[in-house]
Amino acid sequence: MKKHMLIKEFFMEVKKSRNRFLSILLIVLLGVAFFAGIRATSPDMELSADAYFDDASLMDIRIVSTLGLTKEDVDVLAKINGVEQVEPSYSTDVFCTVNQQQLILRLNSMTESLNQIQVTQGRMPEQADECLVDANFLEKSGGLTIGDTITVTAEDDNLGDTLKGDTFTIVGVGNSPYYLSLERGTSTIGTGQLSSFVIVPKEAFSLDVYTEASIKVAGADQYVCYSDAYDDCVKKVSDAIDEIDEERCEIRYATLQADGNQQIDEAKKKISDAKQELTDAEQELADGRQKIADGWEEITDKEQELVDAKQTIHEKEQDLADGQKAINDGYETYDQNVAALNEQVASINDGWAQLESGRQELNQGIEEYNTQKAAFDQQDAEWNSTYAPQLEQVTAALTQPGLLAEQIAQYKALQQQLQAAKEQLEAGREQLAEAAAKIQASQQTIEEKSAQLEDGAAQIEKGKAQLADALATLDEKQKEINDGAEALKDAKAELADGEQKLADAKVELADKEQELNDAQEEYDTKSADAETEISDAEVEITDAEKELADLEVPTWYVLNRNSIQTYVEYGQDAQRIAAIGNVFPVIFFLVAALICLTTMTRMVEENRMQIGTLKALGYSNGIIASKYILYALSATLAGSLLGTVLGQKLLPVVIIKAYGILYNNLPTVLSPMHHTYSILSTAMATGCTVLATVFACYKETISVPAKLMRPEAPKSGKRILLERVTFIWKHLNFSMKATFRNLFRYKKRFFMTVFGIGGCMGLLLVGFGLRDSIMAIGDRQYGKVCLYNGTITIDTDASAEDQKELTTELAENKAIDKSIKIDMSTVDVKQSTEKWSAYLMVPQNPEDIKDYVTLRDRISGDTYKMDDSHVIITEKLAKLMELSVGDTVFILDGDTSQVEVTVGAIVENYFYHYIYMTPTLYAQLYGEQPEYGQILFSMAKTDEQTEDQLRSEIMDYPAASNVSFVRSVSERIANMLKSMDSVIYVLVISAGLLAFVVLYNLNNINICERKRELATLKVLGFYEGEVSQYVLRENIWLTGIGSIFGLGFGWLMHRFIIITAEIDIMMFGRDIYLRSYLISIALTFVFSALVNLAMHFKLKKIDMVESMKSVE
Amino acid sequence: MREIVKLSGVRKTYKMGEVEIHAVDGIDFEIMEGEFTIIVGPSGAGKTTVLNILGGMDTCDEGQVLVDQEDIASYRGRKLTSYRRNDIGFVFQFYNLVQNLTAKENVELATQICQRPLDAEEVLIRVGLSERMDNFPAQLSGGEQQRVAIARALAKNPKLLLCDEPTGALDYSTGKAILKLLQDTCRKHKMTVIVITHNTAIAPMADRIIKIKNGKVSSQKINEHPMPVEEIEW
Repeated sequence: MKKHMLIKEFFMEVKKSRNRFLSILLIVLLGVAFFAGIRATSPDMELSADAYFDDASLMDIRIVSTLGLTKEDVDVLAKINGVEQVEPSYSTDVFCTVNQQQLILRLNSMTESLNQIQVTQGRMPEQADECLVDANFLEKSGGLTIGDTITVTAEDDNLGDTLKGDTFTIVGVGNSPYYLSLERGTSTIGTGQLSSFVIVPKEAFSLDVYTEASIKVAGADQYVCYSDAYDDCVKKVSDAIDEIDEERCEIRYATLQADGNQQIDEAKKKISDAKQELTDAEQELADGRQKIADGWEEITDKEQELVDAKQTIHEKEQDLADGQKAINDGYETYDQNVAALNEQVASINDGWAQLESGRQELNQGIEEYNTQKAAFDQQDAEWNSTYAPQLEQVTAALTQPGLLAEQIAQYKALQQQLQAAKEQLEAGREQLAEAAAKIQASQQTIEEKSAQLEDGAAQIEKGKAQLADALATLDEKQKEINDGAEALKDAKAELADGEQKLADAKVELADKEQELNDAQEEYDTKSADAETEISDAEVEITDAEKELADLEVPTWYVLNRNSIQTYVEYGQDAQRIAAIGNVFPVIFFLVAALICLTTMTRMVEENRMQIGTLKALGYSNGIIASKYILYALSATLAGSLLGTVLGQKLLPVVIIKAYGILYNNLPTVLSPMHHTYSILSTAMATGCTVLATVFACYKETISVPAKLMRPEAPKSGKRILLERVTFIWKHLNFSMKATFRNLFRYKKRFFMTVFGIGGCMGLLLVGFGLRDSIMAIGDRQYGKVCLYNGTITIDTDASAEDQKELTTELAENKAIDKSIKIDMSTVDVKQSTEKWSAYLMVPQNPEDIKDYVTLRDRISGDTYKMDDSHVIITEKLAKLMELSVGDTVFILDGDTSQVEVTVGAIVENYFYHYIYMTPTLYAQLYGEQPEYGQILFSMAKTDEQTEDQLRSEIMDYPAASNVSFVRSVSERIANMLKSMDSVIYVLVISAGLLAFVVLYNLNNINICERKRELATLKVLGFYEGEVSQYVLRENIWLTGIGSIFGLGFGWLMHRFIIITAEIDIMMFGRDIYLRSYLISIALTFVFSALVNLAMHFKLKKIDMVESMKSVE
Repeated sequence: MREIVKLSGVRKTYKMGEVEIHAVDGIDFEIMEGEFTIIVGPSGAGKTTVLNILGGMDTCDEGQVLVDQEDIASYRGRKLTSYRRNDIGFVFQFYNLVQNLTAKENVELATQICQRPLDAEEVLIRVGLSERMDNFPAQLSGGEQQRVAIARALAKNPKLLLCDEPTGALDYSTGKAILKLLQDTCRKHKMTVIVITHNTAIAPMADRIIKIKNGKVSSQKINEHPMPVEEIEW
């Protein structure tokens, strides 16, 4: 029954003191919610990401080979123990110009089950000319939608080596689990800034080997990513891959070498064939030329021959004319001879009369003569039978036409010989005649006369024969001449023919020559082309050979998820939240514990009398204490349970949503209850409070009832330290003195209030300070550091004339204030094993850079000038790399080499990293002149309209490939600030709650403790306001002191959070603006004032009769 | 001699749940300036209620309370506080000193708010605490504390000095000394002193004795020959 009464009394107590109960509950709720909630945020972030990754089957391992992966490689990978799935794919980076700007896109081939794309709009591509684009692409492209097409280009125009087509129709929009944030990472082409991914079907690629392979590790999805268990699970497989990759690489290398050599050989053969062809063509041309030359020569010969022949003909004509004349002369002579012979015949006929007389004589002589004549006739017959036909033949031969002179001469000689033989015969005949004469000599007169007559007759006969011969000869000759003339006529005709033919031949030859010249010309042009082609091909072959010789054994990069930039960044952010979670909630927790302790102690003290009474009645200490313990336990437990649920359900979501501005691609936020945190925080909260209660109870319960029944002696007054400083103390008015004494009189209250108010102030300061720090990026980066308003990217392939035109336009355009050419490229800098990306800035005129970028120290404000022996780097980069002035920085140049340079100064900068270098230093380090591919410009007026107009004006120049404005970047930061607002609301609300709970609670205790004193004041005639002032002045002072403490505390917290929370490419502002201090102080005082107002009404209610009562 | 206090038909009813308690049920009396008055009666007779009403700490439901010709019964809120502040000096049974203030500061606590205060130190010297001015209440004996309380009331230079059982928490001789102080204050400084007590034994020292019983004045008489405190015994 007694228990029943106590239980009833307990509930009465709770009801009566529900404010106290609620205040314990609330402060515990707050403490536990913050503790469990912020602690849970980090694992919740990881869980949310893990859920997404598992859902989208993000690969666990990705293998990228420097020389691609073959189907065999994939098969081998699939067989590795622990590999659940291997999915090979293609990937390439391309340019795409949209909305007047050149974007770099990463084309990935579609995968079937790994790295699933979340299609937000449309569908996945199906045809080789369809694509799905990154959700951010449509925004960047400024107006493209599903159904539009994009055209991509490769860096070196060898798009065909990689892709089948260059135009794709957008059929869908989606997100990739690869990218949690807006950041898309870097590319090896162009500016190096990857802007979006694009998914195309495998068929769109024309590569013969895969560029990469994604691997899903069996069982890895059971573990939460970022956890050690996950890492271990994946590491086992990646180790196994490491074991085989060398072998696979060797095989790939060998294949490539063989293929390369074969290709080179083929190419070489083609070149030599081509060369042979050229040589043949040349030979043919030379032959042709020779033939034509020969032809000309022949023609010349023929002409000569013709001239000769003409000469011969001419001579022959002359000869013929001469021969005719001679023949004509011969005929005249023959006619004269015939006349002379006829005269002789007459004289002989006279002699014949005389001869008859002498004939007797002659008959005798004739007999003899006949004998001799018979001999002679024999000879003559012989001649006639043998030689006469010969002569006839010869003579006949001579008459034949077309005989050459030689032949004629021969025949003539033979004729002559034969005639000579004939003459010889004639001579024999004469000898015979002489012999006849000799016979006749013996016959004298008759004989003589007959002989003479005979002689005369013989002579006539002879003359007649001779004449006949001569005539025959003449006739023959005439015939000969006629024949000659005939032959000459033929020859002439022949000559005319020859001439005609020659003329024809000349024309033909000229034609041939023309043809040859044409061929030569064709050959000349073609051979020049061919030679260029051949030399190009040769260069190519040399290059290919060199390439092949340089071809290194490929390397497999076995990458796990830590190679994904946003995966790592997200993990780091989760770690940062965890770091904050280790500090932040502890403050709340501490305050909560202290509040509970004070409240419970006060409660127990207030119940002294009751405790005494119960003790006097004989209740045991345990039972008496159990009421208070139960009170504390129920309040704390209720607060804890509510706190764990609210905290773990609400805070992670709010924080992750705030991060969602950065990590926009996190589809769902998970906020499960973490029992560890729930139990831990509940146990800590209840433990603290219960222990405090037990302690307070113990103090009271060990006292004897009689002592408990007597009022506790009031806390005696004491002089405070300040009183010793008489010159201050003396000048304080009375109420101030009282206030100060009171402040220090209740030390517990003092410290707790200061702590609570300080915590409130600190939270506010952190909230507003964070906002300032982020705002600083915009304000200071784009107001103080970056003075330029935009960048123009120059098409460095454009002609010098075009570039000059652009420069002129920049100088003349009214919207542009001034401009500077700069080589701005992305480089990697290295420190031990870590790498960071930075912009290498090489301005054409380093002395002018101050008009575009302020190079100054953040703290001292000293400005720096660029010099030729040092680089200037930005603060965050220096911090990340742990570099100070005078240290050496390593700037990577490609994969293998790096340049070293000394840091000359470290300058203020908040966004990205920059390295400033003079052109002279650049030339010295890289051995080449910088290529000024960008122009920074500043504008007199920056608004959207001016910028749009300027953009279109600039883009009209072919040399300009892109125009971007700084304002868009600062707008992005402004957006980031919006996400901060929710964090700030959380902080301000919690700060307010903290201030309220702390102040209200402590004031409540304070007023209860001092009720008599306050009632006395009222009796003394203090007005309501004065009574409130008397108490609340203390509060104001406490708030003031707490605020000062909070300033320091908040400043430290802010610094801590900023340094832990900021991401690598950013430096948050380190300073909190004065305005934020003022707002924080003002808000703290507003919270305090609200509590004071509540207290004022409570004070009003104090009954003066209290002063009459004895001390309780 | 003029009339400084005059109560006529003063009634006060408290409601305790459903029960009405007539704490003061029609009280009439008057007190002259410079008189030492003792209001005496048993516990629950309504004397504290009378004191509360007279001291401006409570209001009556009916009747007139004239203090220096002013009817304070109609005073409420700030006006009532001003009345307490300027016209009333109050001495509590348990002294009600502010622990955190020294004797002098406790006096100053009162003097700083009223219109015509006396010098704190002078008053403290007057009550015989010239040596203990800078002591905290905890360092003072009960009698000394009550002297501080009296000094605090006197320093306001009030029209009335109201004392609620001033000796209630004190031992006999200290109590006597305090009563002597009050009587001397009345005589020397012409202060109108009203002491409320249940101890009838001290009544003979007063100029006027008002007895209260059951919320009514049972008797009121002028003591023509008040006894010196030293002669009173109880």
